[in-house]
Amino acid sequence: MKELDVRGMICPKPVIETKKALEKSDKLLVLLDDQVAKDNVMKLAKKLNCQVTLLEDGNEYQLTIKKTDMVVEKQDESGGKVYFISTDTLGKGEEELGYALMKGFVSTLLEINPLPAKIIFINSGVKIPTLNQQAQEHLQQLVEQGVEVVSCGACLNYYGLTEKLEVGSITNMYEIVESLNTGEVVSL
Amino acid sequence: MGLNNEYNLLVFNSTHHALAAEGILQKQGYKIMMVPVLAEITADCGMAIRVNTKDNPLEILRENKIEIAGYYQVIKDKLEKRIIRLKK
Amino acid sequence: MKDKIKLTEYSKTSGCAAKMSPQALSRVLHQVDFKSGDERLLVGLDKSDDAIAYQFSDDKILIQSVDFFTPIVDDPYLFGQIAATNALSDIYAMGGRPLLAMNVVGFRTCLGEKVLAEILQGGADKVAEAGAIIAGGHTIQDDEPKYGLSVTGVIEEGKLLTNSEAQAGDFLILTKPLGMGVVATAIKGGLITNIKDHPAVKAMRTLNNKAVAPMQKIGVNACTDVTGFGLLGHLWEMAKGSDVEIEIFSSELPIFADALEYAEMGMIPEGAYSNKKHLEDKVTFIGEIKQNIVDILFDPQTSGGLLISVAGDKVADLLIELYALGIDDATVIGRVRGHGAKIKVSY
Repeated sequence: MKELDVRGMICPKPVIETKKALEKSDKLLVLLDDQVAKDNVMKLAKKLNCQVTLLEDGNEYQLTIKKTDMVVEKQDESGGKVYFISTDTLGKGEEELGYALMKGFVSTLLEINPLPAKIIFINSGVKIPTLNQQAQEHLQQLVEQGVEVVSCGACLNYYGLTEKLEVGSITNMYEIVESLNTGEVVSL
Repeated sequence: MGLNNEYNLLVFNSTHHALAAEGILQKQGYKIMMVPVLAEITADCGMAIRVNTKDNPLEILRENKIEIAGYYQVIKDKLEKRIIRLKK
Repeated sequence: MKDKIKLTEYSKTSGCAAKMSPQALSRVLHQVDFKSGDERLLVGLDKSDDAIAYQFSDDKILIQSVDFFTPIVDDPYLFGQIAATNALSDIYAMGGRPLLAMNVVGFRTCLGEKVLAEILQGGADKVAEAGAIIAGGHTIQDDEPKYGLSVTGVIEEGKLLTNSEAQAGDFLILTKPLGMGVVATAIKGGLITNIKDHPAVKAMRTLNNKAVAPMQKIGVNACTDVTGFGLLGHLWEMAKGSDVEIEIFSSELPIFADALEYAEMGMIPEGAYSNKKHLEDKVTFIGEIKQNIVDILFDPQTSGGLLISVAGDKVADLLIELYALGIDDATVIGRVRGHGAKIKVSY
C-alpha cells in the first residue's frame, strides 16, 4: 500500500496532498500527527466516497483510505465463493488453537467482499453451526445478509447434533456435490 | 448485536494469552467474541477479543497476570471505522 | 503575481482564524486586575464587545479598537485591504465612524520593502475610502508577517450600538455571506485560482460602513461584526450579553457558493474546531442539519458582515435601505425568541 506521510505539515496541506495521492492510487495509508488535519482528511475521504479506517494512538494517527468504486466493482461480480468446511478446527495442530482460529475465521467471513455465496459444513464441520456459540451468531448474520448456510444431514445425525442445529438448513450429498461442481470452492 | 459496530478490542502479545483471556472472561460472564486482530493494528495473524464498551476487562486480566499488547475502542459507521488506542 | 513570494506560507493560521482561542483568552483575562473603575468607560473588557467606548464629552463618545492578523492571501495589496477593512469594521459595529488609524505591523525584512509598501498601500486605500486618516504606526521584525490597524472613531451620545441589547422579538440580519475561513483555507490549499475576483475575497475587502447610516436612521437594538469566533461565537456573545435566546434558521444562511463544497472536502481551518469546542454546550441543533452547514456556522470569518438585531416592525424598512445601498447579501437569518442566554439552530 502506498504510504503518505503528512506529519508536520500545516493545514490544509495534508488534505491537498491526500487528494493528490488518491488521484494516483486506490489505496493509501496516511500518517498524521495533528487532530485537525486528521478530521479534515477524514472529511475528504468521506466526500470522495472512500472507505476510511482511522487508527488513533495518542497524537499519532493513521488513516487507511480505500476507494469504494473498487469495492463496488467487486460486488457487481455475480456472487461469492462456496466455502466447504469439513472440520471444526482450523488448520492442523493443537485443538484449542484450531478452535479459536475457526471462530476468528467465521467472524471474518462477515467482512469480506463479496460475501460467500454458500457455506457448507460437513463431517466434524457440523459442530460449528451447532456447538460453537460465537460462530452461530456470525453465521446467523451471514444468513440474514443472504448467504446460504447448509449442514450435512448425515453428519449431524452421526454426531447426534440434528436437534442442536440453530442456523441454516440441512442438506444432502446431491446438493453438496452440485454446489461444489458449479461454484468456485474454498475447502477447509 | 452489540459487538459489531461499537466495541472495545483486546490485543495480546501471544495467542496463548488470547486463549487464556477468552477462558477467564467467559467464566466471568463477559459477553465477548474471538476475532482476528484488525489489519490496521498489526499485519500479524494474531487473535483478539471484542468486549462490550461498557465492560472493563482490564482489571480481571491484570489479576490473572495476562498481558495485553493494546486496548482499543472501535467504532464503525458506514464507510468509516475508527480505532482509538485506549491503553497500552 | 509578478514576484513569487507566497505570503500565506509564512503563517500557520490566517486571517481572524489566527485569534487566540476564546477559552484561553478568557482564562488569562480573569487573572489580570485591569483597575478599570471609570464610569465614563461605557463599554470595556467585561462586555466582550467589538471595541471600547468612552464618554469623553457630554455629547460625544470615543470608540477605540485594534485588530491585526497574519496573511490570508498571497497578494500583499489585497492582504492590506482585507486587514484594514477588518479593523475598521469594529468601529462600524458600534455604530460609529472612524477618524484616525495607526498601522500595526510585524514584518520579515527578507520579504522585501516593496511587499511591505504594498501591504501598507492596501491598508491606506481602505482607510481613505472609510474617510479616516492614517496617522502613524509601529513596525517590528517578525518571522510571521502581521498587519492591522488601531482605529479611533467617534459617535454621538445616544447612538452607541452594543452587542448586549438584543430584545425578544427582534429579527437578526447578517450583511455578508459566511464561509470566509473555509474559502481562505481553500486558497491556501491552492484550490482557488482567481483569488482577487472570488466573492469571499471581494466581501472581505468591502467596508461595513454603508450599513451604519440606515441602522442609525431606523434604529436597531444591537449590532456586532462576525469575525474570528464564527457566526455562532458572535451570536453567543450577543445572546449572553443580552440574556436572550436566539434561533438561527440554518436553511436561510447566506453562504459563499463554493464554501459548502470546500467544507465537505475538509478545508476547515483549525479555528472552526476550537470555536466548536468552546461553543458546543451552548448551542442546540434541532433536527438533522448537514455537517457542512454546521462547520460553516463555526467557521472563523475574516472581515465578516455585521450582525444586526432589529425590532420586528423595523426589519423591512432596514432591509429596503440596505438593499438600496447595494448591500445585496443582507439576509434575515434568525429571531430573538425570549430570555435566558441560549442558541438554537433549526432547519
